[in-house]
Order: sequence, then structure tokens, then C-alpha cells
Amino acid sequence: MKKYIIFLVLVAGLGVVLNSFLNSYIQAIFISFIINAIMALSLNFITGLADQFSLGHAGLMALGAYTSAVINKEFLGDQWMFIPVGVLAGACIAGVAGYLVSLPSFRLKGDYLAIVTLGFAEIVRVVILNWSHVGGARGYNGIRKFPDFLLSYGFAVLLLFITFMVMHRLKVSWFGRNLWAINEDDIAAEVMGLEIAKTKRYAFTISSFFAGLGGGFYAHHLGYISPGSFGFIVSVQILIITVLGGLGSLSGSIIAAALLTFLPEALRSVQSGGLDLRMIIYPILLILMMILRPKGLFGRREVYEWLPARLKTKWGIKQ
Amino acid sequence: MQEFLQHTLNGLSVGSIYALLALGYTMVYGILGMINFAHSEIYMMGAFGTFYLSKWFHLGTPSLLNFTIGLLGGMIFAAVIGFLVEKLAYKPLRDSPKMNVLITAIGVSILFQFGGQIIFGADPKSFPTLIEDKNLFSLFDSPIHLTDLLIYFVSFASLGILSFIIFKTQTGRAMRAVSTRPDMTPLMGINNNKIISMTFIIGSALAGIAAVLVSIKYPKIDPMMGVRIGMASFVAAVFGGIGSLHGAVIGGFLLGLGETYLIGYGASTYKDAFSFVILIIVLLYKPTGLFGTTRKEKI
Amino acid sequence: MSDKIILSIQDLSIQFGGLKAVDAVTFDIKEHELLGLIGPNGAGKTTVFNMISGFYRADSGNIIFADEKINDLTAAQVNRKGLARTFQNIRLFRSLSVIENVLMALQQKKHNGHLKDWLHSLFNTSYHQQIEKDLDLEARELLNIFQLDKYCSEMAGSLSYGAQRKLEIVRALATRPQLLILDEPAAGMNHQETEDLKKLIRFIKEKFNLTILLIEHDMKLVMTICDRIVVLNRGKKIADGLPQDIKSLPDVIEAYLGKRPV
Repeated sequence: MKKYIIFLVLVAGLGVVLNSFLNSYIQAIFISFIINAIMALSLNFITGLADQFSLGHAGLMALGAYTSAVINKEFLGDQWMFIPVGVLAGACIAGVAGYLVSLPSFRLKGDYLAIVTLGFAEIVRVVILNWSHVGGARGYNGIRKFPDFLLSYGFAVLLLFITFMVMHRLKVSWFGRNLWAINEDDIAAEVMGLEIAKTKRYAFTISSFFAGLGGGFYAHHLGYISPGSFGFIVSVQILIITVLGGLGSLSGSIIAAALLTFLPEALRSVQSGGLDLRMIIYPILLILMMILRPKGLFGRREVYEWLPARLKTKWGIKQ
Repeated sequence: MQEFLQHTLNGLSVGSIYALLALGYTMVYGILGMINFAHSEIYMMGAFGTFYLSKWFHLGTPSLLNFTIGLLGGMIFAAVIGFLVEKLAYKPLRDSPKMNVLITAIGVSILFQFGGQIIFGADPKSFPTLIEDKNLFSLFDSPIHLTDLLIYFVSFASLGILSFIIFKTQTGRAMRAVSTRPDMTPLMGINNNKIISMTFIIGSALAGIAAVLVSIKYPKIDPMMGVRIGMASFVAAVFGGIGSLHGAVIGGFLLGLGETYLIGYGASTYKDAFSFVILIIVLLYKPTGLFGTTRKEKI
Repeated sequence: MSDKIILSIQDLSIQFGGLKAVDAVTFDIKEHELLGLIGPNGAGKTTVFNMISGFYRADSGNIIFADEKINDLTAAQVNRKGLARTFQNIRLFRSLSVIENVLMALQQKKHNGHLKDWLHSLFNTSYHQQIEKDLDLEARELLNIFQLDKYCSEMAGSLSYGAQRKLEIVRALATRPQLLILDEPAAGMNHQETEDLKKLIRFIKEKFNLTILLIEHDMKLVMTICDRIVVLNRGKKIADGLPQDIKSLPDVIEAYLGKRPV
């Protein structure tokens, strides 16, 4: 219990600092860090833990964002109090879509999920483009935002906390063990009575749910979304955060999200002439990392596993 | 009838391009078990190779000679790029988990797409007229274009040469051996790395050929030109049964024809979705594709 | 041994390409029997195993386990019916710890994946903690029986060869099977290890009240511990009987040693 109180105090303190001493630009960056962290955790769950490649997380994010925005505006009276409801609905829709996408993807061994999700993201994009009610290519404007930063911040931290805790619980319990066993030797796992395809379908559904959650919040954070906000580049950005943090390391995803959100902002000047230089830097980083440090920063281990044993027992972290 | 014939002829030319590209996907998948996401960018590079070749050597005047030079140029350029991609990006990861190779492939693909936008510029370039398109003759009132005939002829010739290489030569036999038992072939004195390089060279050369043929017919090229066609060709390879050469060719033609009929009979807005719908149907009902077999894993 | 037939293989056939790998093979296993399946390399033994355990689909014939046809079940479903197996080349979850290997097998029955189960583990309820504690205890007990408990938290891949073989058997037992299929358990073992294995097989058969189907190359092992032996050659059954009877059959000798020159 004590550790949660300390955590809460820290979060509140950070919120107050951000709110009173820093400008809205830095506040916004902080929120995008949290969204990136949620998205990276979501991808890590399917790619890091379940060893299945998804290239369509931007599509799931878009689904969550548009669902949440539409529901809030059309059905919930455009009130900020109901933003969480919309976000949850967006996550559910993304989860359902993820389940449907997973149906054809795991019939055979191999990387079919990558291709199916890539196609799914493209279909989502095309549908939104042609849907004039949500603005089509012009984008969807005037989405309800939280009235002040602290509310937005609090909700963001809550979402990240929930995402992390759910994934952490699943990682350390039976489901995580099943996923890991499949990674190690799927034939042996099957002989133990485990349905491989079903397990992967669940993993992708969960991953999709949280991608939708991140997307839903994103819509209400910016107040404006367009099909362009969810292009392939976004999927790649999420991928690189996940890979940098370490496939399978949840805390790694959060740290990498921080690094890759704050650093590029500091390096904003490299973006010249309308061309996004990130799209050159990212792939080079990906390739180099795969060759030089394929496990990312933390491999599949969690940051706190490096803590001294004394602290681990004190904080109740399993060895 | 005349309309149907016209669509069929178009479909065959689209299909032969898909077939050429699907072969590249299927060959690499057969030998390394990976989806080479960068294949569509190797295709794109083939088109740009020929573009710059004709610019620097002034191949602007249409003639059969210039066409041949352009075709060979694109083919060789793509083959070199494919060879280098494999050597520099994939080979260092030969013993890594498959996920890492896949991520690298994605990285290479994006690097070419956006690196291309910086080096070549993002806006479409007009591809030089290497050969004058003519309306040669009519078949049941359908005009037969020279470019279409060239596409048929060159693709069929390439497929013929490929099947000769794969099924009649020592290298081809080694390639088939490596794709079934890569652990055994070194004991037979086969250098796996050399064979894998060969596979990339041949697959990429086919992509280069496809790129030049397409660019002659639709003379606008840009760094993102490989994305859609690459995706469709990959679907064709899955449709035919990934890993199967015959499957890739037949899958390519079927997909090309299907897509063309769809556009021809009015549903053109769904063109981009078509290959995905096919993919999902195939994966749901016959995941091994038309000619694929589940490799009986040794247990 | 009772007379109740637990597994019945009837007219089982499969083809790979044009090759009939298994051709109309028929045999039964009675409850609590230790049946050996032998034959020269390429006789189709492992293929029969793979069909029984749900990895290959038989072209024709029936596999009846406990009065139920299991031809079309997946490997996972077959296991859930009460049929476990090991592999010729060890297939442990190498970078999971020894105890996690066993836990993974044990938990398949305890965690059913229903919504309630998910919620319990998400909120780490006391109910969930109890299940995990029980599983842990059960796993330790099992490992204890086989003197593997001292390696509990070591990576499975780091164990010695003999211990890995043993762990694979423990893991299979953790799925609580009625019938255990052992695929060449003595492969790569020296004389002493083979002797230990012999004891181990006898021991688990009694301790867990098992029926065992054993594929083996080591003739001495098979001859000394099996109740009955089925001999395959080129995909066909050529003999079925008690060890001492099998030994002297001309067909069997020919299959193993080749035709005697006339």
C-alpha cells in the first residue's frame, strides 16, 4: 500500500510542477510522451511478448480516436466529463477490430499478422478519408478537450498506469508464461495442451484494446485528428520505441517512449523543408539496433530487476 | 465480348507484373523464411536506375536498342541493390530471431522510401520513352499495343529463363536444396551464403524487369511507387502458396485478372482493398494458398 | 494390467508425396501396459506417434483413445484428452526456468482462460494467489520426486543432457496423462544413464498409474522393460507379441540385420 501512496504523491508533485512552472508546450510534450508510452506498451504486448509482428497499430489508434471523438460529440453531449466514456468505447471498438483481424492471421505459422494489419490500417485510413461526416481528408475538428492541464494530466497518467498494470499482471501470471512458452517452442507448448492460435488471438485483442485507448485519448488531447495523423509513419514510430526499449520489457517501453519523445523535440531543427528527417533517422536506427544491440536497451527484462535485492524485497518485487 | 477481351488483355499484363514480383517474395520466403518487405523498394530502385541511366547516357530517343539497354540497366541495378541489402542488412542477422530480421526488413523498406524522397525528390518524375508505343493491330476490335506485347514477351521470357535456372542448372538445384534443408547443404559442399545471395540477385533482377516494364507503360515514377504493387504481389504469392514458384506465377495472373475485371466492371474505388480481401479470404479458407503445402515440420 | 483397451490404432495410413510412410498399421494398447514400438530407421515409428499426438492427419484409418475417435483433434486437444508425449530431440522451453517448464504444463488445467480467471489474475486476488501457490507446490513436489527440485530456478537449457530428458518426462507428466508416449528417451544416453532411465520408466508407470507407449532403438532396453512389442518395417506392422517371441521371428531379424544370403 505504502508504495502506491508514494507513487501517487510523486505523480501529483510532477503534475503540480508541470502545471505551475512549465509552459503549455512542454506540458503537451509530456502528454504525448504518455500517449507514446501507451502505444509502445500495446505493441510490445503483441510483438515483444507474443512474438507476432503488427504493422497496423496506427490503424487501431485511428479507430480508437475517431470512435471516441464521434461518440463524445454525437452521443454524450460534447461534455468533457464524458471523455473517459468515449475513450473506453474507442478502446473496445479497437479491441473488437483487433479480434476480427486476428482471425485470419494465425491460421499458419509465419508473419501473416504483419501483412494483415498493414492492410487493415490502410483500409481504416481509406474509409476515414471517404467518410465526409468526420471531415474526410480535412480531418475532424473541435473534439472536446479537458478544460485544464491537470485534469488531462491526471487522466493520462491513470491510463498509462492501467495499461502498465494490466500488462504487467498478464506478463507475470499464467498468460505470460504461456506466451513465453510459445516463443520458446510452439510445438512443445501445443503438446502441453495449449491452443496456440487462440492464445495469440487473445494477445492481439488485448494489444488492440490498448492501442484504441491510446488513440482515444490522443483525439481529446489534440482536439483535432485527420487520416494523416495515423499514417504508416506512426506505426513505425511506435515500433521503434518498442524495439529501443526492448521487446518484452514493459518498463523499457516507457523509458524509450520518454527518450524518443523528448529528444526529437530537442532536435526539432533537423526537420527541414517539409521533409520529415525522422523518417530517415528512424529506419537507420532500427537497422543499426537490430545489428548492434538487437535486444534493445533492456532485452525482455524490467528495469527494476536491476535494483539491489534489499530494495526488491522491501518493495515486494518478485525475484 | 470486345470489352471482356480488352480487360483480359490488360489483366494479363498486370498479372505478369505481379507474377514477376511475387516470385521475388516467394523465393526469399522459401529460402530464408522471411517476408522481404524491402522487395517493393528494390523494384522502385530498378525504375530509378533506368531513369538515371537513360538521363546520363541520353537514351531519350525511342528505339528497340535503348529499350534493351534500359531493361538490362534496371535489371542489373535492382540486382545490385538486392544483393547489397541482403549482404549488409540481412546477413549479419542470419542467426538472430526471425522478429529481428523482419524489423530490419521494415527498416530497409522505409529507408529506401524516404531516402528516395530526399535523393530523387518526392514528386513523380516522368520516365523516358525508351520505345514508342504503337497500336500494332486489332484483335476482335481490341487494339493491341506494343508495350503490352513487350510486357507479355519479356515476362514470359523471364519466367522461362527463371524456370530453366531453377530446374535445370546446378545453382538452381542448390537453391532448392538450401530451401528444404539448409542444415544439410553445407555438408554437400554447398555454400549457403552464396546461394542466398544468388536468390536475392535473381529475385531482384525480376523486380527490376517488372519496374522497367511498368514504367514504360505508366511513365510516372516516384519513391513510393513500390508500396501498393509490392503489397498486391505479396498477396499474389500468398494466394499461390508462399514458397511455391508456380503458385507465385499463377497467383500473380489470377490476382491481376481479378483486379482488372473489378475495375473494368465499375468497382474501381475498391481496387486497393481488393488484394486485401483476397488475402483475408485465402488465409481464412486455404491458408496454404493454391499450391502451397504445409511443410511437415520434423518433430 | 487390465484387459481394457485404452488406445486402438486401426488401419492407420499416411502418405508423403508418393511414399506410403505408414501403411495400414493396426495395434492396441491395454490399460497399464508398457508397449514398445520398434523398427529400423525410417520404419514409420515417429510418424505413427505424430499421427496419434495430433501433428499429422492420417489419410485413412482410426485412432481411438478411451473409446473416442481422436484422428482430427489438434495436438492441444489430444493432450487434453489425457495423452502426453516427449520428443526425440528434446524440446524444453530452454530459457524458462526448470520450475516454469513444469508450471506451464500444470497450469493448462488450472487456468481455464474464462473471464473470471482473467479477472482474478488481473487483480491478483487471494483466490488467484492461492491457485498460483498450489501450482508452485505441486510443481515442486513433482520435481522433488525426480530429484530435480534443486535446479528449480535454473534455466532449463542449462541442465545436463540426462536431466533435460528427465525434465521433459516430468513436464509431460505434469499434464496428468493416462497415456504417456516416449519418443526414443534413451537416444544419446550412455549405459549408466540408460539403466537409470529403465528404472525411471518402471517407476513412473507404477507411481502415476500410466499406460506407456515407447519408441526405442536400444533393443536391450525395449526387450527388458516392455510387456509387449510391435515391430514396424517400411511402414507396415510385421510383428506383434511378447519380447521373447519377437526376438526369434525371422521377419524381425531380417528387418534389422538384412536378408541372410541364401
